[in-house]
Amino acid sequence: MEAKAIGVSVLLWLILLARPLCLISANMEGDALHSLRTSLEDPNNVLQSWDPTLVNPCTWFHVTCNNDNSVIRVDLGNAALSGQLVPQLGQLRNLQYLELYSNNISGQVPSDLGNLTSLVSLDLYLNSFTGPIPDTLGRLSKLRFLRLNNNSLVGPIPMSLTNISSLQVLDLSNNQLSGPVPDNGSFSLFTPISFANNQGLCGPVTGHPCPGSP
Amino acid sequence: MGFRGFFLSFLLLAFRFEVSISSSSSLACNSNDLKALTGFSNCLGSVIAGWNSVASPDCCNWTGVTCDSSTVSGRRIVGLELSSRKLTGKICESLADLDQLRFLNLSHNFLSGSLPDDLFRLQNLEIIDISFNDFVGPINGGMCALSSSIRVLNFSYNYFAGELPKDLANCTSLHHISFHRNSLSGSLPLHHISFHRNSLSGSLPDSVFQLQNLRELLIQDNRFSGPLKNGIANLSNLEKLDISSNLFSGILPDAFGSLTRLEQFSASSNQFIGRLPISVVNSPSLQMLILNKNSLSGPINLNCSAMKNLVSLDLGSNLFHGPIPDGLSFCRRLTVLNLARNNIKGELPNNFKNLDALAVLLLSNNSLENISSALEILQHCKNLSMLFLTKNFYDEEMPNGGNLQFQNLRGLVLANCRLRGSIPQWLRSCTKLQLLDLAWNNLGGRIPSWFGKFESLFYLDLSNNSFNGEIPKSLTEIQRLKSGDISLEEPYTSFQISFNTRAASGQIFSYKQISGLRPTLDLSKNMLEGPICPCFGDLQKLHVLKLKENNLSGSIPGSLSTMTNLEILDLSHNKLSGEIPYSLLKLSFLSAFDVSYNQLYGEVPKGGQFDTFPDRSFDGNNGLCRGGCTHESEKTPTHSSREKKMKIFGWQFGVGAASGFVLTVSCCFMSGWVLPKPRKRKKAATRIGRI
Repeated sequence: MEAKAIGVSVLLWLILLARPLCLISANMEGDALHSLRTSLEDPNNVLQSWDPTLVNPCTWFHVTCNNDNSVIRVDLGNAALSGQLVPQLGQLRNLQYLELYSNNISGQVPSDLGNLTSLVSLDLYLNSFTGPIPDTLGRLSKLRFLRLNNNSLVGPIPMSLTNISSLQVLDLSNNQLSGPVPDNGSFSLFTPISFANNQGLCGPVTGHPCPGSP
Repeated sequence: MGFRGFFLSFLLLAFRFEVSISSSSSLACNSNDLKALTGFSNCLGSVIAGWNSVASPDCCNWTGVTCDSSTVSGRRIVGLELSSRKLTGKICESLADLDQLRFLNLSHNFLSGSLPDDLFRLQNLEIIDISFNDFVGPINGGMCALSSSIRVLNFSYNYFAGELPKDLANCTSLHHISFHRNSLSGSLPLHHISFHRNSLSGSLPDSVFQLQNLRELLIQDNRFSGPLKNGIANLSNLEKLDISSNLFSGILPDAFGSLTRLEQFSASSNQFIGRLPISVVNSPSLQMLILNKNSLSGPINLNCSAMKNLVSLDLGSNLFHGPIPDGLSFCRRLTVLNLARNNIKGELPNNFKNLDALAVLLLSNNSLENISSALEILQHCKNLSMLFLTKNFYDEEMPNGGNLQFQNLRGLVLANCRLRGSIPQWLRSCTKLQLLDLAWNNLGGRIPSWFGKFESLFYLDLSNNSFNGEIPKSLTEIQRLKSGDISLEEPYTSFQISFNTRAASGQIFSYKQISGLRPTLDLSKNMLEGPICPCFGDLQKLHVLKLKENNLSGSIPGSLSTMTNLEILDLSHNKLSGEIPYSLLKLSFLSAFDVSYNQLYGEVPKGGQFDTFPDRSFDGNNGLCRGGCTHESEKTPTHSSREKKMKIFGWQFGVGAASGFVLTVSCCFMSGWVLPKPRKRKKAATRIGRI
């Protein structure tokens, strides 16, 4: 009985301690998303409800939170957005779904996205992203969907991606990527469709042998 | 907030005006200033259009630059206004070489790093606004040691940390200071004004009470503790006092008698106990009294013959008891009244008829009785716009008289009262209705077709009742949900009341405006039957459609794909058959989708948003399969959804239902996250879904 009482009081203390922290982190997440809003052009006012003076972003349209009021989804596919992403997106620690496909977003894919270790789906396809695929994406150990197709990405496919054992769907087609296509690790699952229409890629899966390979 | 913003822009405008009068000279800018500006620009990570010393050598013509009319050594830069220009990078020391600079506005950018040490060496600076950036580090002192002219400092919405500079106390000319939403700590060193949303702690220093000229003391959202001392009585010029969301405790001091100018007093979300002080409830100057979320008790003993100016009274979420006092109706200017979540009993006093100004009334979660009388009285308040009565009048009959008239009503929240009867006829006259929540009652009969005439309605929750028959097609004719093209008045923008909704999970969502709610149609947990009309596709502004736990049959219309703003679609626990239309892949904002426990078959659409939905969204369907249909999924045993539901939703459901309120706009408070979160229900539901 006493042990139970102690347990309960410890729990209460933890709740008391954790609550302000939750509040602060939710504010940080709101700030991060507000930075994103500032950096994007939004002709259809899809982000109109993103009011940074609210306690957290959980009531913002197209944002979903978990029960602790931490953001788990941002669903902004096909929303006529342009402009660029911001590194602050990396602060959404519990984000599972980042759906930004079918827009006209440009600039680089921020390497800070590698901090989103809860991410299950990163859908940036059908945009105008440029620059390389950040090596840090290899840290997304829960990622199941990685769709970066139909952009203007350049450079090599980071070897780190092959470490993501949960990866089920990969689409890097229709970019300007170059270098060898890895075929080890999780990449052994994927077929040429995932890599099609990248002029510079080489390796068995592309039909173009890499220079120096047998 | 709004007032401060206005104040600030007023100051900035005043400056622009003053300066532009004298800026007609044709002289080019001072060469040292040009050099400093170029240095400043080089540290930025972005290029400012129009800043080019080759194409346009006179920097006085550059974007955002204001010069004075000095003639001796060229015109001097006095103002730099580069707000909202997506600037990145740092501010470097050369900015401090603009020695005539008087106003600096770099707000709403992405500037980072720390502030240059020399910034406060600028002796002429009067306004610094660097709010909404990513600045870090401590704030260096010295800002008022040299310059005696600083009037406005706005450092809010950055990441400044460390202690507040002690010598802020020397800033004698400061009118407006704002450090809110940073990570500053330490004790309060001074006098003035706005430090909200930091982590300042300790008790309020006695030195504050010596600032007899102080007009505003805004220290909300910190961690101040201890009692509010009697010394507050010394601040006889105070007009605005906001100590909300701190850890103050003890009784409120009876020291307000000398604060003859106090118009706004907010102490919500603290730990105050005891009764309302006599000097507070007799204040002739108070316009706004906000004390919600404390542990105040006793009767509500306002002296309305003294409180002639009271416009907004918020005593919600306390321990007040007794009846609603008759005397309240003598506060003739009362516009917002919140008594929700107390222990108030009895009936609404008859003379509430006299409250001509009353626009927003929140009485949820008390023990009020006699809803017929309450509505009869309130219909005389011609300005009544928002009415929240949730969790009162248990088991009474919904008054159905056609003679009730609420012509200005925009929001009615009358949920969780176990009311009997049907949708009342008198609602028809509420043609301005935007929000209607009648969830968790025992209402039955049909959903009337005249709902379609509510052209402003965008939030309708009739869930958890016993409505039967078909869903009237007219619901899909609601203008606001079809085109959103309707001009609307927000009922109470100027009163800073926010309200909460509680989701099934126990999450509490806080809103400042009615229009912050997602456009919603929730008819869940009734006995509705018949098909889902393809005409639902017309509701292009709808964000949430919940039809779960009814007896709906037929197929899911492919035309739902034209509900382009849909975020949540829940059709679970019905008798729907056929396949999931592939056209639903077009719903690119859809973040939650549930068709579990129906009689659907075929393949779950692949791609788009559908890849992001969990498997449980599709559970309990005959032959519905995901990721390539194999014969294996055909083996899933099938139950009709009702049977299944009845089996599953036995006593567990009862317990779950009793312990939570599903999407009920349960009550209305200033800003609430301190309420207990009943999570049981959600967990029960999830568990059930997986059996």
